[in-house]
Amino acid sequence: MSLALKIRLVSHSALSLMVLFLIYQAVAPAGKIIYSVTPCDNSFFIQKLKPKERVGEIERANCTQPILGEPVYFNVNTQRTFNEARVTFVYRDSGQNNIIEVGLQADERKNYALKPLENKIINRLNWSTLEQDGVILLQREPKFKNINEFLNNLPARNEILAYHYDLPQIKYIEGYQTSTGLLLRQLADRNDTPPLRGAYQFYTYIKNEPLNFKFNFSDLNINKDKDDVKIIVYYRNEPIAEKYLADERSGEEQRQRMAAGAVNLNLNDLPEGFYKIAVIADDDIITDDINTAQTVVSFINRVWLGGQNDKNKTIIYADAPEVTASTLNAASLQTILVNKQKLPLAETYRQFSLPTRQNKTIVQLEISDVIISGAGVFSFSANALANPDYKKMIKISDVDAEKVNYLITTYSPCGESDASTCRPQGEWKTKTISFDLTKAFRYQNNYSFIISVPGLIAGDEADDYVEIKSINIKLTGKSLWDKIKEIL
Amino acid sequence: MKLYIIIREIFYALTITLFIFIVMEFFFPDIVQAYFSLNFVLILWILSGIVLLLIKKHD
Repeated sequence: MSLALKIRLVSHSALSLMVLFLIYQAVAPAGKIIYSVTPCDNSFFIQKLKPKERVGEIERANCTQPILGEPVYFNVNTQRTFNEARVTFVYRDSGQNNIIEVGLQADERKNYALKPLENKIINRLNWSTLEQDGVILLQREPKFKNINEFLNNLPARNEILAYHYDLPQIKYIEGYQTSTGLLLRQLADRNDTPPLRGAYQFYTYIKNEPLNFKFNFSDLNINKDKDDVKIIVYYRNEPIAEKYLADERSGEEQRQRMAAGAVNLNLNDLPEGFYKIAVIADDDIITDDINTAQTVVSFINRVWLGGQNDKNKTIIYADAPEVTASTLNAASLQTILVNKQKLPLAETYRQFSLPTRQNKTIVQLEISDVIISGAGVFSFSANALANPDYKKMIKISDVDAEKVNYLITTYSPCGESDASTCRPQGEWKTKTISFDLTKAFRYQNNYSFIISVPGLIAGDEADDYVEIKSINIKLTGKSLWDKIKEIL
Repeated sequence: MKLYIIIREIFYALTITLFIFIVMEFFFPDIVQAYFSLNFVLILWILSGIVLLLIKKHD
């Protein structure tokens, strides 16, 4: 055999092997693939934590990287789709942050489905524990024998705290006065709601009355995208009506605020109960006013007071155990009063929080263009506040101070890790969480993950951090044989 | 002569490799680049071509 032939044989064999390897890795014919990364690696599959401002320098000696502010994100790039991701983190933390959560992007509006990685409040509880089908009930005093008994005889609402578990909503408000009984309101709808910016959701309550809302919108035309508005009405988590306001204004170039139209929601013969209304819009859309005959209008988790340079005093009623304020507008910096306690909003692009631990909180603002958020509901008049949801655990929850006797959750200190691996090895902890990738948003071959550590703020005075040593992702999906069987 | 044959075969092999990788990348983006950069293959291909020309000229 000539020299040229020998070289060709070797080089072509090597090339064929390389091509086969690349195709095998891309197709993952068994439906399984594992990617591992440490902060020192430049992996194409598990990309670096970002944004850079919220992560510290990589410590090259041990290949670790601290997270200094939350949230941080990382993308997982896969050549094909998978059904499930088991994500294992090796990490340690400074111990100052009670909750560490990891999430997967669920939709293009950048909503993330979060799952608990660590909850120190629950870890510290030495209560009696019941477990059933992945649900855990912690009781201060062992009263219920199983979780079904608890769910069928729910104790008083203020005694229960939920964490990553959806308790059934409260169905009715006792002693609710219908709007039809109030003559003045029947004659003229009221508008308690100041201008709101962007998307929001709120609860309303219907009893022998029509559901009646009129929304007036305007468009700031700051970004060039189309600013469509979609309104969805939910009853017991099922959508029952939908309205759409398409952006046909084409005024994006002038960058001038203009009227964007109105939407009327009129639904009759509805059964009594809470209804959720979701207004889906981008941050260019201002809801100028909401005219309604309904008594209850309680905004869920967040409101962005959209008045531009609006110096009218705004009063917000809330049931959130902690109120958080932030603004993007330097002209909106101010001192907010939360139950007459001062909450200085001293910087833009930063969240400032104040615990209240009360069922009714009054927030007073002097200037608008501020985002008010918290784990609860917000309203603009005292009698409009009603929340069908049970209290949720947050980073400052204190079961003793809040007199909570029952905690229901899907979180277990070991998560899905084996008891042997979940035990800390020195300071380092290993935890695994599973995500359903069929419900994930995939963009340009990427799944986006978030690491959320409520209270971890980059650049604050606290010396807190979460340090990542490695991330391991085991992806499983359909095998090549399953796909062939589907086609046949 | 022996060196010329070796370099020539390397050049041929890199030409085929580069062509196949570009075709694979065209139809399945990142299938190759996930593991190594095509720029690296391109540089090797150019270098092997230059060396091949130099050897041929020298001979």
